[in-house]
Amino acid sequence: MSPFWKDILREINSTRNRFISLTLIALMGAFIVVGIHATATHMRDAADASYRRANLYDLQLRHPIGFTSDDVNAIREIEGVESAMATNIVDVYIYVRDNRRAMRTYSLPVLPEAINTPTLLEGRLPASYNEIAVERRLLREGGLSIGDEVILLGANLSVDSFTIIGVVNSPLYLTAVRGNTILGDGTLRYFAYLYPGTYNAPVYTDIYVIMEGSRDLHQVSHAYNAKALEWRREMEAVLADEIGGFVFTRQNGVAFESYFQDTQRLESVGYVFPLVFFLVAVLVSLTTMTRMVEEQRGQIGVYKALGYKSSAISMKYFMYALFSGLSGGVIGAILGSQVIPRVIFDAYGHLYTMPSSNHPFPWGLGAIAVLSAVVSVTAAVMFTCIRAVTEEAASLMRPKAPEPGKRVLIERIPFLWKRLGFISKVTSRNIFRYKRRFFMTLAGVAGCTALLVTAFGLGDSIGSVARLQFEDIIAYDAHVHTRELSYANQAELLVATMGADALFIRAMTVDAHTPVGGFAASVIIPEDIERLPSFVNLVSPRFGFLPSTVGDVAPTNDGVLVTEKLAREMGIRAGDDFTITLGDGWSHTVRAAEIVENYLLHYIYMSPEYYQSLFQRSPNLNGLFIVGEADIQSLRQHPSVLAVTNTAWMRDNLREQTDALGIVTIVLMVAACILALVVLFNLTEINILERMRELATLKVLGFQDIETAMYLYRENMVVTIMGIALGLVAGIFLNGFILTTVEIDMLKFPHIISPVSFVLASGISILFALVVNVITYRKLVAIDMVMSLKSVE
Amino acid sequence: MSYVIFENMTRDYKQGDINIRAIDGVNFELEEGKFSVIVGPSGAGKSTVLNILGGMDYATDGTVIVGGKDITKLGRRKRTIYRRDDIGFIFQFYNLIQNLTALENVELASHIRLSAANPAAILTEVGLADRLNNFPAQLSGGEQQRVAIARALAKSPKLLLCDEPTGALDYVTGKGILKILQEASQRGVTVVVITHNAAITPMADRVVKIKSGKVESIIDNQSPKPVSEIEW
Repeated sequence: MSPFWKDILREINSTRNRFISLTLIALMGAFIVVGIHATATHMRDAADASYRRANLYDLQLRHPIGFTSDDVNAIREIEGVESAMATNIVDVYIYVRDNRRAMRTYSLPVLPEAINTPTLLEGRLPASYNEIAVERRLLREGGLSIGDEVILLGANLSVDSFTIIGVVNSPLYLTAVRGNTILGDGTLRYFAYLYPGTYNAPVYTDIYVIMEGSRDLHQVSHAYNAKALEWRREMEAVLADEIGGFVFTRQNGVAFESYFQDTQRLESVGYVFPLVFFLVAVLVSLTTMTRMVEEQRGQIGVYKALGYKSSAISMKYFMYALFSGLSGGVIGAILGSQVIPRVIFDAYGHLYTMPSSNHPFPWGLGAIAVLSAVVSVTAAVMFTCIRAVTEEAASLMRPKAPEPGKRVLIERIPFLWKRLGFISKVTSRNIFRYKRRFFMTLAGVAGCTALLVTAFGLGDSIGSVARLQFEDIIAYDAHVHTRELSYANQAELLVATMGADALFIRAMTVDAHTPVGGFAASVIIPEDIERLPSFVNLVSPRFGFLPSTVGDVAPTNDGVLVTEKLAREMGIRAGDDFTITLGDGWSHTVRAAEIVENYLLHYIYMSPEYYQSLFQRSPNLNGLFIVGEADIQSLRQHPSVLAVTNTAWMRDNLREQTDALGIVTIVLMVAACILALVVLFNLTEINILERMRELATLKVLGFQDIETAMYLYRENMVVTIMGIALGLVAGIFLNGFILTTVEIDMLKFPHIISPVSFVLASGISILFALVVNVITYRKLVAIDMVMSLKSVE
Repeated sequence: MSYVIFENMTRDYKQGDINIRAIDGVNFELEEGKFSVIVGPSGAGKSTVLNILGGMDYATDGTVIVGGKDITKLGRRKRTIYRRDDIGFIFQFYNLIQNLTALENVELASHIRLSAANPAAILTEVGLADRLNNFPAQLSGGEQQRVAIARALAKSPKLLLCDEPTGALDYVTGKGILKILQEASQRGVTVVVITHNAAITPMADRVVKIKSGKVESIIDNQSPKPVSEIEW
């Protein structure tokens, strides 16, 4: 091995701590960047594989009166169509524990096209009339199992009694959301697959189409989405002339788009966090390498005097940083690609039905991460080395003059300065003496505190969303879904709810949209608008993380109340108009009078008067909210009742789902903690090394070890506290940004940070500062007075 | 009994497996309130003697008695108290804290010593009345050394230990510094100066010559010369 390499290896060995901390920071950055992006890629690839496996449709054609076999053949002939499969989709009622629920049945896809093939989980697929394959949720909620008999009520079925012979997942349903229907209260609960021959209608309700070239595209990508819109326009043009009907893409489906968006949200988190890490890496590397070059000025001078070129001398420091960045980057990339996708995919697994596929190492991404790690660590060497190696050999061999003392700003305010004790004066002057290290420590501590606040705050938001939605906002204990109620029915139901407070409502699921975007929303029209606030707390959205004011909004007669997230998705504010499209295809323009706080699903609250003005008739009531103890059992038995939704049950359900997201929080928190420790350790150590002489002087004067330590720690503590204060504020913003970024389609996270989180974040930062001070105390004690003071100044 | 007694003091340094004996059984005594000079060529071990006397280093063997107590027996904490209460140290390169003004450097000493002198008054005594608020970088070498002396004297030490105090200064300035030190000894402070410059030995009450880690000679001057009469 050449002396050059020996020198580098010995350097690494003798400055192990320094090398490790530099490497760790590079590692963390690569870990997060690869981990998060690999997860997003993995989620998209898993979906891509799953869509291909299921042979997922590109276009769905639907006709109000159905397609004939001739129509299907005509569509197969259209240029660009690869294959088309006619099918029947029929919504039916099914009784689940005495509740009548809406279920969508699909004709089982068959060869040759077999578009949208379900995945068999258990049992087998229907092979004859009166056989049905259902989803697991139906079995769980209905207390059913394979072999049980179910009765379906609906048109166009040749039989009504079916035996459950299999359990399936449908490629059409990625989440627990099943969408809307024209049956009942408009909410679809389940899906199921029937043998094709079971449907006895003379026409097909739908045609699923796969377009040529579709499978050449990644199925979950912007490219695919753009192409799909193009296909849709072309298909619409063709259909308009001959057959008629509507054309839908996957983006109109229930969750395809939100799944794609989730991966993109994850990616934006994956940009912000690593950015913080790499920025810190640059700062740490800058101080570390500056220190190293300064320590070795004499040696650099010797190399120069021996005739080494500047570039050759710099190479040593460059290689040192390169080794560090490279090893940190590679290890981080490998760990990140293996650990984070597992953890996060698992968390999202609670929300999406998406089988995990094997994920190969993301080479491109890994390369980018390693490169970023290397660049952020080595960039600093350029700065520090260029300055040093361009000096003359002779001047290099002379030690660098110490930085002269400077007056600080506060000294120019005699009123304050006079009041400070001697030690406080010294401390304040020292803090501002080493500006670069001061700002680095400040940035380091602030960054870590901000990350901790964000992580704890995410925990607060995720943890409180269920409580806020189902305890603070939804005040009713149960929502009874009924068919449209006659006056007699209403009276009977009122008797059944004796002892509890009840409010009759009209509920309907609509598609609320503006040109910006739109989502399925529930419109709630209470019979008596004055009483709505006792059942739903209608409040203005919170501003930032401040609590909202309660009960200050009510539906008016010239507009509706729109929940926060829906308004944001549609890009509207109070006073703007938007469109609602009902299940029957009719659209109405409505005005948003106010925006209200809400966290789960989208709601539109409308007064009966406003309904009257839109629809020219009064609302047909189809449900009631109940506050208090009601005889749910006798309610269920009433013939008009379809289902009862229990608020407590909804709350627990949501809690289960959101808990999974806490995992992401823990990943971020651990990363933030490691970062904090490394940065503080590094800076404190360098601080001691740079001021050896000063500290030795204090010792000679007779400062005890602890007094010498306090001389330094007082500075550290002041900067730490300043950093924490800054970090708490920055954390609020970072938290807000991250929350908006990670929100899933129908869920809005409250921007809440509890005081405990602030205290914990500050506490951990202080604890870390203390731990680092304790660790470096040994170094202070070990300072050799004789050696430190001997040299020339 | 003498104020400082070195008895058979030895100091070894380990460098890997090699044992280097810097001080080899040194014996000498210094009197209280006198001006002593330890002289010898560089590398003779005189700095080691001074560092051990000042509680900055420790002896491998033998005893060093200062004011009746054996300082080689002091623990880490006690030794720090000894440095704080009994010793004032002056270095060739001043070792001022760069980020503190002249006054603050002196305050640093008085801060840890209760029976300390008034910092401003001491600085005035060493002739720096109008330089109180200057940083070290704004002072000349001689001025910096005077701040260092003021900082040492501010603690009202019993022993003032000076390691080549004029080594980095020109002739005139160096003489000014020696004058201040001589005045200190006249006020009762025991002053020990180490130097390789034999020319200043006539001003000392006692001169200890050290060579190769051993005492070569001890000479007492019956009538030490004032600084102004010394030339080199």
